[in-house]
Amino acid sequence: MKKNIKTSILLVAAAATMASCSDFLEEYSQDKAQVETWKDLDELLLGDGFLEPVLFLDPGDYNSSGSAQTPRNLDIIHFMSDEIKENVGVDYDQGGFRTRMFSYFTWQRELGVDEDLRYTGGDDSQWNTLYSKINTCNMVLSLIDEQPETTDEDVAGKQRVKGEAYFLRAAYYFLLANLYAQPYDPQTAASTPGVPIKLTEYVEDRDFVRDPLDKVYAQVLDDLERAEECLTGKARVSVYRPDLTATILLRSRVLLYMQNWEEAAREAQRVLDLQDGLLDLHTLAEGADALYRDSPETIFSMGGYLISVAFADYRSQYGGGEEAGYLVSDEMAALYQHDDLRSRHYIGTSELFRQSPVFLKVSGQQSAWGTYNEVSDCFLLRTPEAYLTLAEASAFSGNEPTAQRALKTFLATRMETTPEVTATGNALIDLIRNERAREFLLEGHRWFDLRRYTVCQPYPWSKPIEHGYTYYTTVNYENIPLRTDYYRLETNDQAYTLPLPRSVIEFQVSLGDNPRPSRKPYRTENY
Amino acid sequence: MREKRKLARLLFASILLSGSSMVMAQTDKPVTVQLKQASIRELFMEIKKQAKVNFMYSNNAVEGLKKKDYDFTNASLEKILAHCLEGTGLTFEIADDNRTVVIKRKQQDAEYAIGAVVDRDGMPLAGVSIKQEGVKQGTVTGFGGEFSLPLEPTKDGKAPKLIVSFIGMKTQRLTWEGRVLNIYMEDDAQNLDEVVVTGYQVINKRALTSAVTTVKAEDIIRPDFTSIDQMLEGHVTDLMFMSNSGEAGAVPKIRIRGTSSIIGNREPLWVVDGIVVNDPVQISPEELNDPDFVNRIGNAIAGLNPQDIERLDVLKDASATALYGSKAANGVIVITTKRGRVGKPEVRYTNSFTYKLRPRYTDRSIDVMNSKERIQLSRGLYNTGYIYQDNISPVGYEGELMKLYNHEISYAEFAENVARLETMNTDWFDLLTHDSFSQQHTMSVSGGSETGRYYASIGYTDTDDVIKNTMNKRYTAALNLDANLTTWLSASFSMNGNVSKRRYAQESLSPVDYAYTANRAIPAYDADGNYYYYKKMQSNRIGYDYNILNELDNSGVNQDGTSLTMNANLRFKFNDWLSANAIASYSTQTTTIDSYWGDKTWQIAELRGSDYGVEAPSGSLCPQGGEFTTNDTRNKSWTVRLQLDWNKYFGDEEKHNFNGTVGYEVSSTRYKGYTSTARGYYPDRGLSFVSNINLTDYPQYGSWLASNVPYITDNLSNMLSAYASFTYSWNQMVYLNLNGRIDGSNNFGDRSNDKILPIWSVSGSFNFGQLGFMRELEWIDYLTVKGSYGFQGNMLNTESPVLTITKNPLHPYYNEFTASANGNPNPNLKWEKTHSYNIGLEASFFNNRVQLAADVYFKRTKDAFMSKTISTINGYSSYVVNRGNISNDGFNVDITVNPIMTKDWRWSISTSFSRTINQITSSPDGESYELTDFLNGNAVVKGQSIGTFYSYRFLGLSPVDGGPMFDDWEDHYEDLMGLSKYDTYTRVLKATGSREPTMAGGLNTTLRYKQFRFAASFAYSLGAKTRLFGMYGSGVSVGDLTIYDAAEIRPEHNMSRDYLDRWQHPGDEQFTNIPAIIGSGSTNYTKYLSHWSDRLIYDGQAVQPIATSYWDMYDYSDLRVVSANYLKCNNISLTYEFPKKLLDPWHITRLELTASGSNLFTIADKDLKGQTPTQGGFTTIQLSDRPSFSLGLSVTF
Repeated sequence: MKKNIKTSILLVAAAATMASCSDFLEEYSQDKAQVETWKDLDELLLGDGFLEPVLFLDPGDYNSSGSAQTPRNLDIIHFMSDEIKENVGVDYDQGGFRTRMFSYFTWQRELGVDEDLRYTGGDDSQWNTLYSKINTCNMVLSLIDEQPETTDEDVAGKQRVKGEAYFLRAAYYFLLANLYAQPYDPQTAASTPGVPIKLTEYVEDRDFVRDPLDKVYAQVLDDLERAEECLTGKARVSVYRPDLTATILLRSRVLLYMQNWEEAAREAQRVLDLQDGLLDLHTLAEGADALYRDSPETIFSMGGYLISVAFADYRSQYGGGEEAGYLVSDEMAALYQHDDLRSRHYIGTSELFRQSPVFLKVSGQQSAWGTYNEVSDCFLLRTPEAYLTLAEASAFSGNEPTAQRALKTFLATRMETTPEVTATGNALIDLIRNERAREFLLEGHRWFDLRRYTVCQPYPWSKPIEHGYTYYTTVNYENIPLRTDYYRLETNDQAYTLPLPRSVIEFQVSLGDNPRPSRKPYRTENY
Repeated sequence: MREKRKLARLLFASILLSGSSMVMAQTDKPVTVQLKQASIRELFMEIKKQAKVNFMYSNNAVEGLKKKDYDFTNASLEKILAHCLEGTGLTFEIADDNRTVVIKRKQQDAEYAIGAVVDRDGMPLAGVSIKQEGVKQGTVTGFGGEFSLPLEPTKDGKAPKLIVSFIGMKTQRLTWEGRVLNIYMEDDAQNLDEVVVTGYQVINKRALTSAVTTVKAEDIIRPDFTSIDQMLEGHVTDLMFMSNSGEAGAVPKIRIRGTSSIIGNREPLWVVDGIVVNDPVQISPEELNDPDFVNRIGNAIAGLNPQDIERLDVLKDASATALYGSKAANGVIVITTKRGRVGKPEVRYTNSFTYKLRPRYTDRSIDVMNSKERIQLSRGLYNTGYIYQDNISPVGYEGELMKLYNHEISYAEFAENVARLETMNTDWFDLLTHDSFSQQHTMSVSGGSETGRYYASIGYTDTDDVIKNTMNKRYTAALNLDANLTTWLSASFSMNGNVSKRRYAQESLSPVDYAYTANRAIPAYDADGNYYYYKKMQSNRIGYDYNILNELDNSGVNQDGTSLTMNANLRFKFNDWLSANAIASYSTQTTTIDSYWGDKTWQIAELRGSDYGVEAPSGSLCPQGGEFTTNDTRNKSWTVRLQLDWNKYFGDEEKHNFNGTVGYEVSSTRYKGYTSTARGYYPDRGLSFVSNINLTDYPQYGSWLASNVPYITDNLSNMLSAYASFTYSWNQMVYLNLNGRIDGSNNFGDRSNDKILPIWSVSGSFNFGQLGFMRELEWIDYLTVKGSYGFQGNMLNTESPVLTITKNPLHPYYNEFTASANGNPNPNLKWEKTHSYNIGLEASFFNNRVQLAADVYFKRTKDAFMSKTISTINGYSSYVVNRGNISNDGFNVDITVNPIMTKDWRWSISTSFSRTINQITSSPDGESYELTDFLNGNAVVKGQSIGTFYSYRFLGLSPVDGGPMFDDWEDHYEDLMGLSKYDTYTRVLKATGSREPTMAGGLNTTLRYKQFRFAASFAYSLGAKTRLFGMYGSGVSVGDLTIYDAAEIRPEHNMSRDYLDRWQHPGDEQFTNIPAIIGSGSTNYTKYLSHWSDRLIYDGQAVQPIATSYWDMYDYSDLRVVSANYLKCNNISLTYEFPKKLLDPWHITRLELTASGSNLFTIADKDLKGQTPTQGGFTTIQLSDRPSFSLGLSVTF
């Protein structure tokens, strides 16, 4: 009897503790979670897979803890082209562009150096950002298929997320190839080193090598193919999510860069079949942003328009102020004719110190600080590109009437009076190339265009570019210009291709560097 | 009663035997007897004839009595009988009827052994069993420890032997010699050492196969500390003790058997009464492992009153810790609290009062300039054309000069002011510290009976630190109940609670550091007795009013903690070899840390952008009021454990024994934290916050508000474990043991659930003392050798085999939710494995006069987690792999000698020595560690021990300008090109020793003479190195803005007296190592202010930055590395115990007075120039261990 009591007490105690154990070992974390549905991957892609939006911060506020919120994305591409010039006399480094962009602005052999040519690093930021985003795409692609699907919404959602991931991966490899590999020349692409391709979601601790450029482009096209499969029939979620239109437009761009004129034209036409809206600049209010989210032209955007801050004045709360650090370059300003509406809407005078020409497509002036900008300065897809790609590809493939028609339709919204497009041959090509320069001012096209024109088979073209960089000295607490060093990017310069980041090569010599000359000032102006 | 009945039976038998001899009696009639060689019977017959009395006796009583001659004439009956019974052990009695003489044994008076039993403190012991040898029945002592045992005659007629025994005390055998016995029970060291408490089991020491050190709390208790961990130094072998601040309540760093983790926690696990206890606030391992981190918050046992602690068992090897699983990789310290003893209620009150001495400028360790020397230096600088930065504070000589130049004062006034400053000699140590007075009180009551025992205590501790406004108050309560409910069920309940309150300065203020570094020519008060303020520069070139006293008055950190733990333990006894145990424990802790800066502080003036009382500019970050930060941490945990124990003997003569334990345990710990910062705080206006700030006037404050969100943490850790321990022993000579444990946890991404790897150990011991020939050697008490092997696995819960994501709030740009990758999948990560070996020896000689314990151990950690750099093509730059190898080897010796053990004199002396050799045997990744990690000893380097720090190679002073010169490869820098950080720093820098000691030990001695007890405790630490305090300190920068550089001389700073011996003229380099002062006026100023590695123009390749300035290099050079070896006098005490005689009238059982001194002296390397070896010149100067004097009283009723 006694023994029974003992045993039963023990059993009850054991059962009591056991009973509460069912959920006991279920993994728990306050803020960590495992991927359980396609929606988690959707959120992950949005958080980590896209280039990040940019909040305009007050650049004068170095106490602010928000500096982490200003991802730079690919703003370097604006500083290497012929689109901007330094505003001599302004040493105030608004937005940190002066310091950070010195090596890009002057096409230094080594990109991690400061104005005294000391290595300070940071040259791996674009490379690392792009590969990190590719990694996110790889993860999403590896996990998306195994997510449960119970409703039609799940099926469609999974397809969309998968399509977006393919789109992004294509975009990033395309950007990598255009930053770190020679321009695509169909003749030599098979033997030109591209960038390493990694499509797996796990760590590969191996010596990576650079895949040939044609393979990289093939990979890009392949991803876009899959993206199209997935995104066909899906409605556009927002301009911040790539849809079928965006996929086709990106493919037309890739084909254009590959000088595959027929297909590029065909894809551009497909885009216009889906969306051909243009913003009529006649209707745009003075001072309003020409690029914005709900514009009929906008197809897809990722990243922010931080570059516009470089053209803004700054007035301190304590009084006094600083002028914009950069101006639109003279040669670019000269491209706009009088009756070009863009000469008012795309460039103009700054808010406080009335300097010109500054960039105004998207306002980065002080009054806009503290807000998000709606579209991107480095990855914006909009309908004008389809018109101009259609025009360029058609012109090269011998279909000049289509090119002229497309240009005319487009220019009707850009000029005071619609011009007649009659040029043919290389004159037509020049017109289209200039039109791209005007239309896509500081949208990230120009640098890549200048690159690809150097290898364009029927009509190669290149121009020297000059950038001045001013050194300052302190006299009586006042910074005054000491001298300006002028650097020059020669025609068909090797510096059209970036060197691989130092840390990347140091870590893995198997990658090999890009040849790039060291650059000394070719003239100096002393004050 | 029983004894009386026995006597009656005896008498009855005699009557039967001699019943026929009854006649009329005349006992008073004189009798004449003359007999030769007659038996006693013949005598009785003769008397009977004459006196008509009957004799009553038992035949066997008179049997064997020798025949005697009897010659009496008219003698009385009594006289004759007295003579004839003399020496026979018999006596007689004349019955009431006056005609019967009863002959019987002499027994009633003499046959009780009486006396009292006391413990080693002289406290009466109740319930002690007293038996006569060979007799089954015995007795127990009463509440006063008294006893009276009826004795039975011994067969051989020798004096009877008594056996005195009590659970947990040494059994004694005594011979009854007729005197009242005062028995002193040996419940002390020897006996406590008989068992080892592991938290899961209580193991007989002779059966122990693993490495465990036991200390009794009362042997190590010190009045100047409030937490038991602070008192461990020098008392436990293999335990390295590092204390980097003498501040009240600061938690020391403890390493048991070296450091076996690179990125994980290195602190031991604390267990109280079998239950693992948790820190009140979670502190990350990185922070805890940082040798410069001072833990002021407190650890898991900070709330436990040392007076409530009975003993500590430090589990060291893998066999001892196996039952705790992987979390015990750094060793386990098991605390057992006091429980009640059978006996009358005993009330005890203990207190101590401590007077602690503050640091003084006259201390040998404080070698800084006085006002006159400092002004003299400034004057010298001025004369040599030193150029100050334009943002210096206008104080001291320089301040007066500035006034003179600005025509604010005349030259006469200038001269007068400077003369006044020269004698200013502000005593910062006096202003910021004080000789402090602290007290501790504990009242306890304990007692009980066989069926129930109790111990209850309340304690109060009030520690005032020598740093003003730093204090630590604690209230504790403990209750332990034990009940034997039935023969098969017993239960224990305990409750332990505490409330604590701490106050200390904001970390950035560091009063002690300020006292060391502040210019003594700066006054603390102005002529009117108000605080004197000077303008301190930081982010602004204007500077705001600063006075350290004002800062301290208007800021601080207040920490409030409460904690409650409840345990219940039921024990079922199925039969004499099988029992079960059910334990449930619940504990809750709440800690609130409030820190604030009032609006009068300089700190807030910086944020506000204006001095106190001046309206804030529009760019202000804190337009009104001060700043208040609160951090709330709640910790709740529970544990349930079911355990089955058996202990069975079998076989021939029961020589074989099989005992063991199996159990399972469920435990859960949750931490919830909340942190928020608010501005606009008015501590002196009803602790209120300003509410009506117009944000359009203060846009920057508005943007600060917008991004200022509270922060919540929630951390739940559940664990389900099964464990088992089996021991087989043969003839108490050979022991074999096997332990193991398996855990499952809810740790996120923890794959220990998927890949089960048990923790296990095998161990054995051989007791030579049980061998036949050894038993005959009287001088050996026992001699045991033992060995163990253990295997432990460890997994990182930050690394998951699958992708983990963090879900973010709604993104304002997308208006959608986003997530981000939290951890990349790392599916190939394996367990970190540690193999440990231990060989030990334990012996005792000469009746425990000499005891010896020694161990050798080898600990090999393989596949240790280390971060590995990977190509960023993978999307990220590093991940964790199993590639580290760490070895920890060591040995220890512990000797206790009791040279004198007499009634009046008792002397015991014990000493210990531990050696740890720690080495990383694999190289880390080239880019894992930065320059500062190498300089401060955080870097992990192949072939070096953990904590090794690196220094620049000092060559001498430049004969040209007196600047420091180093062997830093400048002349062959090309050899460094392209090298990784690791390769660069391990080549250019020199490994200058480890910050952790490699050898440690202690010497403890106790001498008793009658009522006096003298105890002394010393600890030593060898093998560690430290840096002298920096000559230059480091520069200060805010964001990108450099406020000042390291080498700059600033008027507000005091300087080391070493500067007086600095290089001044070429040729001085022969005599001094103190560099010249090279100001911005000197052509070489910029050369020394930066380093060539930074200036090297990049041309294809470059070198890693080797230093920031030559001044920094000087402070971090091998020249300033000194040995941190020390021998410290921990504590010396003298106790007087009042004699019982004096106390009895007052009903006091015991009264003791103790006077003691702590931290009385430290012997260290003379190169330290008095700097305390535990203080390092790595970062902020912390308070050294302060000497203190205490008086204490302990009284028991």
